[in-house]
Amino acid sequence: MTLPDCDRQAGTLASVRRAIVAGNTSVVEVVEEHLRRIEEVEQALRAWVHVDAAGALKVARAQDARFWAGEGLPRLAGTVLGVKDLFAVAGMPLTAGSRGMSIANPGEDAFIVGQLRDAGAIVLGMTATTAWAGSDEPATRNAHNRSHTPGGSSSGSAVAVAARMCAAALGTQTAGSILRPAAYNGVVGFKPSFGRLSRAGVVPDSWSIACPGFLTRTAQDAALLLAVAEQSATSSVPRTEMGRSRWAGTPWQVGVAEPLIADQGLSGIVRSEVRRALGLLEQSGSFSLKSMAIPSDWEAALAAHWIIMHAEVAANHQYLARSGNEAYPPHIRALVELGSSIPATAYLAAMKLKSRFSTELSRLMHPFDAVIAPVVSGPAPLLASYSAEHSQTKPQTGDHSLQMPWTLAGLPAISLPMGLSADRLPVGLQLIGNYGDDERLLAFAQDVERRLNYDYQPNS
Amino acid sequence: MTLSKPDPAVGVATDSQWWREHLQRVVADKYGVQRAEELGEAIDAMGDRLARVFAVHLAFADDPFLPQGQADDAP
Repeated sequence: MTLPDCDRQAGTLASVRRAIVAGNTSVVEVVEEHLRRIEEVEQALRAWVHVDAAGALKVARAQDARFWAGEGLPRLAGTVLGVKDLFAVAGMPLTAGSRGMSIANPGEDAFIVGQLRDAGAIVLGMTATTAWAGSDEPATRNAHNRSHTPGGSSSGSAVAVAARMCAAALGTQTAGSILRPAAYNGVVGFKPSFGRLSRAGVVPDSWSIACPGFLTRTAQDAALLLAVAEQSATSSVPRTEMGRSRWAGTPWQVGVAEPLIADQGLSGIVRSEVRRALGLLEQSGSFSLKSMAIPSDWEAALAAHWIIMHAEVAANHQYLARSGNEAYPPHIRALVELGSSIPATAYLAAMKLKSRFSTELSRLMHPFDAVIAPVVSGPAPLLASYSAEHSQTKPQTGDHSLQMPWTLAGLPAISLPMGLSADRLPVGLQLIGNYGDDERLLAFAQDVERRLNYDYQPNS
Repeated sequence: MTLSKPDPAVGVATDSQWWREHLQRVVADKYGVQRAEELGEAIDAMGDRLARVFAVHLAFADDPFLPQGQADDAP
């Protein structure tokens, strides 16, 4: 079987499983196809820090044998998974992108990894992240143009999915580390509501904000992975028990974050692509679009996010950072040093502002099923190594500012690929849901995805 | 809420320059003067952020921030 490389919808996790059930392929063949892709493109893209081909094939053979013996197929059979190098995977090295510092060789899986494996997902290996999930230059290259940033910090996960080296991958987001690399590489990036997915077994980052999530080819795949990976019924997230069915036949009520689209900092291509997407949705008659204001504290929320993130990351890293060794390249080292210099009073003021901002944002979003906003200000920028204008001390993973406030408020958000710039770099669209309303957001995203009909794959 | 009488402490907390100098001193104490100079641009940006956050915080100093009944630790 050749994995579908031109039709994203035909290549969903569910369709691959159906192909196995129908006898058109086997789990082993699916894994081998992804391993072939790794052989073809990994040297140029550097999306992986560890690939366990033998282990993946062993699990695949066992799944095939059980299926042929009439024992059925697990729900995620054929799901070849990349795991960001922040999650513990039993038997695989864990380095958090620290360039040589091995944190551990974990004896057991992170909770989410265990949930996905129990459901049949096959972990192919560990995908590259920037050092300690910060903003230093990634080793990974953009799947569409190697001189441009892949985004970060879930760089390897986004590129591995975009280049079809795996079907889906795990990521984490504190500022925009899932949605931004997804947008830059033309794949789907989904961050659930804060607290919805367990962080047990994940290298700590910023405990008030950081959230695990997924990089996939479609919103449908993200919905499937969320359903499997979520933590037990003890989750504290107030969940709305509604899917799209409750509103079947009525248009989606959509807030359009107009002040962000009109912002002068947005590139022309992003603005025009967002407008084109809104036009497509409006024409379909299934979406009722209304302009939505953003909280007046927007800029202050960005500032609060930086303060909280710096202070919490510093608390996790300050003992290690003092060594000033190779494990701490310039940007993350500066983040830890600055974060450990912020007074507790400022951290607490930022936390209060976070609460206030979240409440105000919830009030503005309440009338809507979901909100549409740009996900990044422009296509992936050039890496410092390729540009005389960029400095290595500046963030090398792109602009966080359009993802941060929604992340600060703990809201579920998804980036969908929707178009290409003139130099053929992907442009994404951000959809944001109300807190705890992940299923409705994902149903909405699938409907939007159908209208956008984005189908471009990189040649790399 | 508008503070009726400027408080010297408020003036300091919302002053970017004050925060920049404060951070410069703290970083120099912890990591050395040279490192503080190297981080000059990042320190300036963080000074602006600290002043901005305190401006909002102090403008709502007597605001409970959250509607009654909502958990204060909700994300």
